[in-house]
Amino acid sequence: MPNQDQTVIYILLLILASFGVLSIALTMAYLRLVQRFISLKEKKDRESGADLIANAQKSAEEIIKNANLKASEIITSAEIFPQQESKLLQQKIAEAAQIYLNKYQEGLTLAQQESAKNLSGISEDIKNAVVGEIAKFSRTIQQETLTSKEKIAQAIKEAYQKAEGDVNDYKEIRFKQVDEKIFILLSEISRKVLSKEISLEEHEKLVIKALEEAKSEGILHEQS
Amino acid sequence: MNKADIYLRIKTQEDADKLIEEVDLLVSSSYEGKGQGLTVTLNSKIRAWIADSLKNDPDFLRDPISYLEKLKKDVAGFDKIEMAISYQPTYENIERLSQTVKRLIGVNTLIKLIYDPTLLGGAVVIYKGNYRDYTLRKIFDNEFSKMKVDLFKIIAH
Repeated sequence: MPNQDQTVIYILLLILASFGVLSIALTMAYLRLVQRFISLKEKKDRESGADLIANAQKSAEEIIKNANLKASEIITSAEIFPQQESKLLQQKIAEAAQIYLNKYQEGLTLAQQESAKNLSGISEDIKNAVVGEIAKFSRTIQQETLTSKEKIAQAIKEAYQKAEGDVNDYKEIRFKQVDEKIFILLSEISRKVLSKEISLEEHEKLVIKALEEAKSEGILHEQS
Repeated sequence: MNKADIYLRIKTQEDADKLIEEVDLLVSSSYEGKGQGLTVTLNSKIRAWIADSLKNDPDFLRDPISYLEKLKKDVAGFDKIEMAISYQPTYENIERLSQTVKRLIGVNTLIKLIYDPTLLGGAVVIYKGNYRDYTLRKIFDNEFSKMKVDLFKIIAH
């Protein structure tokens, strides 16, 4: 029995080894295939870019070739352009230039005239505006002058009236003071004259008369 | 003479003050000299006319202290009339003015005279709170004020 087991094990080991070898072989084959695919792809790409360049070069060459042909044709035709035609052309060009110059001159003259006209119009407008403004300014100044004159006249009048009033007040006060002094003086003189003229008996009579007046007026009343 | 005669002779506030002073002296002296003080004072320190009047008044002789106290009380209670006058009065002037006042008001009235020369004449009378100006100054001022305008016109010319 043990021999059979070992045999089986050997068989199994052999199978496993076989599978291992087979796997390695397959892996290597796969890797080789991939590498080949990549190289093929690179090759293809390189081939397509070279074709484009080649085609472009070819087209360019063709264009240049055609251009050269056209240039040759033009040069040829130019060389065969007659000398007379050339002069005529120059003359025409000169005429055209002269006409253009004339037109330019006319235009310039016209522009100058228009400008002058416009400028003269502007001057007239300015003149009118300035004259109007001056007239307006003059009127304003006249009005202001008149107003100022009236105000000054009024102020002078008021100041004069005030001064006159003050002077009158002062005069009145002074006259009043003088009058009062004169009055006091007269009064004093009169009093002195009067007091000297009254005798003692007359003084007594006046006092008794005062008492009797007081009695008659009810100021004095008899004791009960 | 009796009390009424004394009152009649008391004319001014000064008279009343002097009389009260003498009465006080008599009263105070009555307590001196074993009852003889009053007699001594009456004969030596009191004005003669007052002393005579008292000596002849039976009321005084009967009860001198009560009499004197009553006299003092009466005189202190006299009515007073103030008069401002413009002259210095003589004794006779005062006498006549007092007579007039006592006639118009009553015996128990004193006059108080104030000298003010600016009054010119007449008197300012003040009695029991009433005041009246009966002076020439007032009349003069009134008349002068009326004449003032005319005077100014005269002065101006």
